Amino acid sequence: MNTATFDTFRTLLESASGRTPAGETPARRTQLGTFAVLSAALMAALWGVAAGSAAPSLALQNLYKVPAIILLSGLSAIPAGLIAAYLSNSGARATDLLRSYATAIFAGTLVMAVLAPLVAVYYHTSTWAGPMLALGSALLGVAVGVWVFVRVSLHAVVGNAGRSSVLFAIAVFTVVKLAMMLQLIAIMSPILPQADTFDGGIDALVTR
Amino acid sequence: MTVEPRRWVTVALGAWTLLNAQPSEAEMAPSPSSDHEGDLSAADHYVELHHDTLTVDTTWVLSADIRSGHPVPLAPTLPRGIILESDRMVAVLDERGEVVALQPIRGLLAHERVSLRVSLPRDQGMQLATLPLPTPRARAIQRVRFAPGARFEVGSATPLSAATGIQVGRGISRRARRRVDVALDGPHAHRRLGALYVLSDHNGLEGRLVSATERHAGLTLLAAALFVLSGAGLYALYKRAQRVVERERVDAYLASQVAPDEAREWGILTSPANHHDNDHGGTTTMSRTST
Repeated sequence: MNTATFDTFRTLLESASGRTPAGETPARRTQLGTFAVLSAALMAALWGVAAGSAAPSLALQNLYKVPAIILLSGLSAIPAGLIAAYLSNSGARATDLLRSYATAIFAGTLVMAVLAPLVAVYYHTSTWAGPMLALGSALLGVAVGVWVFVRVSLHAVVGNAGRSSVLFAIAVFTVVKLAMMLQLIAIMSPILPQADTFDGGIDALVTR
Repeated sequence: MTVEPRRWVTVALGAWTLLNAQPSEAEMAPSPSSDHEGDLSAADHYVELHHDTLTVDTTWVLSADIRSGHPVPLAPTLPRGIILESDRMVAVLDERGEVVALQPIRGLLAHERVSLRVSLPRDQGMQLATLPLPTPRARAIQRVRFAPGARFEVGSATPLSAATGIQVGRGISRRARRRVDVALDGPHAHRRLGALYVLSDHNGLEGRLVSATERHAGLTLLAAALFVLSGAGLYALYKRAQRVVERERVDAYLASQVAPDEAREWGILTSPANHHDNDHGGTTTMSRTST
């Protein structure tokens, strides 16, 4: 990791912790946003390998499956989220919202990545705790991502803009992303070595 | 499958509170009959789809002795054409070639574990209306698990209750399920996510076995292609933004080294950060931290 990359990574971490750097050009915001999403894809791949490590072929497939789910669901929510922000007259800059969103995805996958070694070890040593930990770490990642999105957006975006309008846009971003994620998991399944609650998509959730 | 309106809520909440208590279930222990050989404490079936075969790895935990030479009748029978492998049992076929019973090679004792493997051609297995699970006629709870890539859509004849991460046949109590897990996995047994617990039935476990990978093969490829394209696009965008940021930094440095008039003459952006920060009417509130 060279200095510039490390600097970008550190800036994203600070941003996720609520310390939004000021005085950034649109180019810098774009750089941070794209770096956040690309890093998220790498960290998601790490979690995928850990979660599928009980079966080598599954671990290999998870190298692209989990990042694909994160990336495609993330991208798919952007149009709806931006339109919601525009129609609700939030006054928020699109680049700020997008950077907050990218930071949230980065933070969520970072949580999953740091728990990946634990998931891998438990998958190999416990039939109960391994799957629980895998599902739990993924859900924790989602929760942290939503929390960071709200915090960073309110820090960075809210000025004259109404908080409720920004929160509405955040809700739209989140709901569309999660809805897309649910079906992508169904399409890409199996991801975990055993069947789980989410791999049948929305049909399995509402009819089980 | 019976649909209960509040079930999806239970599942969603259950996923969030993985370690919380499950919904209460009627306390009912299975009532194994003792008219036949083959009373079980528990049975586990692991269903796996291979390239050209379907296999079921079964473990029976016996609750009573099986005397030598006394076959264990199966209900339902296993279809013709299956291959049964076991070091304790041999298949008893009827005139149609179906496996109607399993005969122990020697007398088996209570609490003994019996391992069986049933294999059949994949195409045949996928077309069956019921899973080919070796199940004694005596009723007992069957725990069915599926390998990655194999999904089973349970038929409507088997009503299920949702619990966290598992599916349970109606009427099977939590305590009864726990007994099954302990009999199979020992005193430290824990729930097996994705498992299906059902009471054995003479009609077998109806439903449809599907290959998750084959079912969505086209969509998976499309998603993979989109992923590669969007990943490449994002990377290109990142590199481009990085070049612009580097140029802005150089400009800012040069601007700090020369007089403003000279900088303007050279076309150097004198204060990019402030310029861009103020171009939206100051609608943002930001706190500065050094990076």
